Amino acid sequence: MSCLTDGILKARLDGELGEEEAKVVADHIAGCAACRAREESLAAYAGEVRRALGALEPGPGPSLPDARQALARFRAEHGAELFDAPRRGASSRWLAGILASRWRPAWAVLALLVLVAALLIMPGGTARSWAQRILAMLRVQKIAVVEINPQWLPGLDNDPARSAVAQAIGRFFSDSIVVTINPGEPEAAAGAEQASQLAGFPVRLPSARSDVPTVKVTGELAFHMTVDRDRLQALLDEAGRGDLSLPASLDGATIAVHIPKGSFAQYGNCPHGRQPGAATPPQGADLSSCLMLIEVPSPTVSVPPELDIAQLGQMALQFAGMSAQDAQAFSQTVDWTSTLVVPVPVRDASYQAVQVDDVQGTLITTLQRPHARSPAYTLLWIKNGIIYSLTGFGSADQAVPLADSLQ
Amino acid sequence: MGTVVTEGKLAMTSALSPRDAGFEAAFVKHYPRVFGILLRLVGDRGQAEELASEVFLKLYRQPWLADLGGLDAPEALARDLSAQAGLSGWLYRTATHVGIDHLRAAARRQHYEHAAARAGTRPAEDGDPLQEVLREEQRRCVRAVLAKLPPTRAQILVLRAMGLSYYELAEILGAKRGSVGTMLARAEADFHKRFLKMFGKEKPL
Repeated sequence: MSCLTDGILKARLDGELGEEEAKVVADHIAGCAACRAREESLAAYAGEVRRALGALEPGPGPSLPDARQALARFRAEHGAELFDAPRRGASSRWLAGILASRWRPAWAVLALLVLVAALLIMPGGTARSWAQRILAMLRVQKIAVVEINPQWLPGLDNDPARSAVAQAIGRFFSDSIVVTINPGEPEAAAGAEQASQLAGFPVRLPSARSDVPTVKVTGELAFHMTVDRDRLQALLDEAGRGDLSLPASLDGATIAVHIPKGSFAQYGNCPHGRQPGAATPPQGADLSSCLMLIEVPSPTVSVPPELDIAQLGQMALQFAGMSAQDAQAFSQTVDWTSTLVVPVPVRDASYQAVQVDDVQGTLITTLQRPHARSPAYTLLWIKNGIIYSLTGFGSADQAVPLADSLQ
Repeated sequence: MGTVVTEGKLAMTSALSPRDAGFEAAFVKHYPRVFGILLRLVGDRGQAEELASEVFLKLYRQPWLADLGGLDAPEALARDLSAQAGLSGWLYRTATHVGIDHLRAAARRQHYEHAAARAGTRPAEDGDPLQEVLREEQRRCVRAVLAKLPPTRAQILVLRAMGLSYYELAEILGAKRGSVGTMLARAEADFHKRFLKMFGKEKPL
């Protein structure tokens, strides 16, 4: 037998030879000084590399991240550029878009979306003369916070039944929504003055910050959708929520949503600096300087007058994980035609009422930040018909002083 | 509801194409290992997470990803194994590349020493600051050597250090199982040689 290759010797050292092979190899080595010497030096390298690479083992800190949470994060950050591509029409692209690039920074998005979605999910029908049927007009005048426990929601987990429901709901939306005004790309503004001109309302910036923000004005958006009650009910049934029975009056209802131009200002080192041209902050960068301010005049949502908004809102809350009793209690205390309902997942965030900008606002504080790249707080308030959302990565104590310095 | 709140994050439920579904399945399956490779290479969790996202972004943009969609379909099962092996190989290779690129870029910016020192800092397990300094220095050297190795060699060393068997390595690297020993032996010898060249013998290994 000629001398053994390094590969064989290495596999022997690693115990990766088959029984038969190992025996033949052992016999050879016993009688071959050259192979023994070679094996020794391979073992020395291996030991060295093992110690070297062993030093890179993660320390005793937190265990590996949960892949599904990572996926949720990934989608939140990149959803718009990715998951829209193969789909129909501009509608779903917009829906993905509102999540990602333009509006990504904010809980305000969440708020808007919830309002929109709560109404959208409600039924509709044939939209022949939808414009004439729209009588009731919703306009956001105040904010209310509800606690939800979102365990239930069909999400990104791998439970096939749930993700099937999630897909069906997504399809429902992309089939039903017609975008009438496409917001297009945000326009850059040099400062508050230019932003105000572009946006058509007075854009304010915090004077407490002396650094220069990136300011963008996001386009106007309008869409409407007509709801097929039976199809929606079937979805609810499928989702295991057959207990939520959609009223027949919803069939054929057309809901129209209009979101005016808004302004988005970003200060400091932000983790989501993926907007074109923005540099990603370097590793370990201190993000506490990051501040994101969204200002948008109240969106309007138009619904047919026969729609019982309170009933639908209650259902939406139940769907989001509230008990029927709690949802009913909340639904009765809130004026659904003028209130932006912000669901706060109880496990992840707490909220409190604060006095800000001479009005009452809501400060939502993240309880446990999975990493320093999550915002520490979001402050929401409404003044003169403009919804403000201020999100920061620094201490939540700064929120109110910053907001009070807007001018 | 169109909105889904997951762990405080908002996501929109949406109709997933088979391609997207395939992507998501791949993400969930391979994320831990991709992250593990990057964490070893760069040392900082936040950075490793960011780079892992980069890897999956690249994956999403691969035209062949479409072929992996609908992996549940019966006709896909046959090619499933090889496709999956190709996929994991691609992902781990890309993760290694991305991690090494990051190390190299960091070195070029000359922040490396500082960044690595900060990134790798963890509570000293035995409470001995001197030991911790030495360990940190060692990690810095190891990463510097890995960054100099050809990526395929760095990859096999990192994957092996993560406990993968020859069988798994062969699958991932698209090699015969019989060649894995040879590849490892070469990579280890190369590591040894470069370490010696870059840091001399006196370094703590």
